[in-house]
Amino acid sequence: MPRHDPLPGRERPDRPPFDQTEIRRRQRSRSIATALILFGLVALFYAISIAKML
Amino acid sequence: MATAPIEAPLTGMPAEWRDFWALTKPRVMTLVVFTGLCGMLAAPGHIHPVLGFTAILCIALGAGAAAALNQWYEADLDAKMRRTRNRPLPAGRMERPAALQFGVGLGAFSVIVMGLALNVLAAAILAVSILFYVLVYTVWLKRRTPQNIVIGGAAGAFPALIGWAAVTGDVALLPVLLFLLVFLWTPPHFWALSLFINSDYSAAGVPMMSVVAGAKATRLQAFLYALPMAAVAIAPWPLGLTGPIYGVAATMLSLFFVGLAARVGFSRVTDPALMKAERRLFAYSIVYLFATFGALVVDRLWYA
Repeated sequence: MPRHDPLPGRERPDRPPFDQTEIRRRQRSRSIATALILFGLVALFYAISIAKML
Repeated sequence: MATAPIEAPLTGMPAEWRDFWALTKPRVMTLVVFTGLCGMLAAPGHIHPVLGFTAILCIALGAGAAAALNQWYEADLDAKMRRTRNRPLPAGRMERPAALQFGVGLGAFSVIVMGLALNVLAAAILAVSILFYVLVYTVWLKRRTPQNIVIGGAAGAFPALIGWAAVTGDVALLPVLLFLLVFLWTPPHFWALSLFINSDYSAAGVPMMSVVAGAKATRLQAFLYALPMAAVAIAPWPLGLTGPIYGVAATMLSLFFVGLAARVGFSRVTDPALMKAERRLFAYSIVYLFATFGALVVDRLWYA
C-alpha cells in the first residue's frame, strides 16, 4: 500500500538564507518556554508525590 | 487523491513555541477539558485537588497530542481549506518531524502520568481515545467515508469517561450516557458546519456528508441524529441518575436543539451566505454541550 505523504515534496524546498538574529530569538523563546514547563513539571510531580502519600 | 503543492516555503527556522501551542488546537481542547472536568465532578467519591488537576492536565495534553498528530497527517488537506491553511504546518512555520515528535511525546507523557498519578483504567481510556482519533478517524476514516464524523465522534466523547474513571477507577452507566451524548451530538454539530463551508471540504476532497450525499441528505441526517441525542441527554433523569435540576435543564436545552435541527433539516436554502439556521445550530450546539454538562455538575453537587 502506498505510504501517505502529508506534505509531498516539502523536504527539499529552496530555503532562504537563515536570519541568525531571528533564529537566536526563537531559540531563546523556546528555551524559556521549555524551562518554565520543566519547572512546572518538577513542581507537579512533587505535589503528586505528596498527594499520593496522604 | 490529488494533492496540490503547498506554496508557502519552509524557512528552516525553528518553530516558535506559539506554533506548538497552536498545534494542540487550544479551542477544541477547551471543550475536551470542560467535559473531562464535568465527568470528574459528577463522579461519586473524592479526589485530591492535585490529582484532579493532574487528571485534567493529562486529558488536555492527550487532546493536544491527538490534535498535533492530526495536523501532522492532514497538512495537505489543511493547506487546501481557507479555515485551516494558516496552521503552523501548511503555513510553513514548522517542520513536519517536529510536529510528529511533539505529538508522540505529548501523548506518551499524558498516558504515563495519568497511569502513575491516577489509575490504569483512566490511562487506558486516554490512550484509546488518542489512538482512536489519530488512527481510526484521521488516518482511516476521514478521507474514505462520509461517516467519518459519526465514528470519529467517539474520540471526542471519551473525556467525560476518563474524568469519571480518574475519580472512581471504574465506569458506570452515567458516564457511558455522557459518552453517548457527545457521540450523538457530534454529527449534527459538524454537519451544520459542513453545510455552510461545503466548498472548503469539497476543494480539499474530504468526503463529508454534504460533499458526497448532498445538502438535503445531510440536513435530514443532522436532524435525525438530534433525536436520539436529546433522548440520551434527558435519560439520566428518569433513570434516577440525576435530579430535576439536570433533568429540566437537559430537557429544555435538548428541545431547543431539536427545534433548531428541525429547521436545518427541512430548510431548502442552498446559498451558504443565507444559511442562518445552519450557523445558529452550529453555534448553539457548542453552547448546548457546555450548558448540559454544566447543569449536570450543578445537579450532582446540589444533591450530593
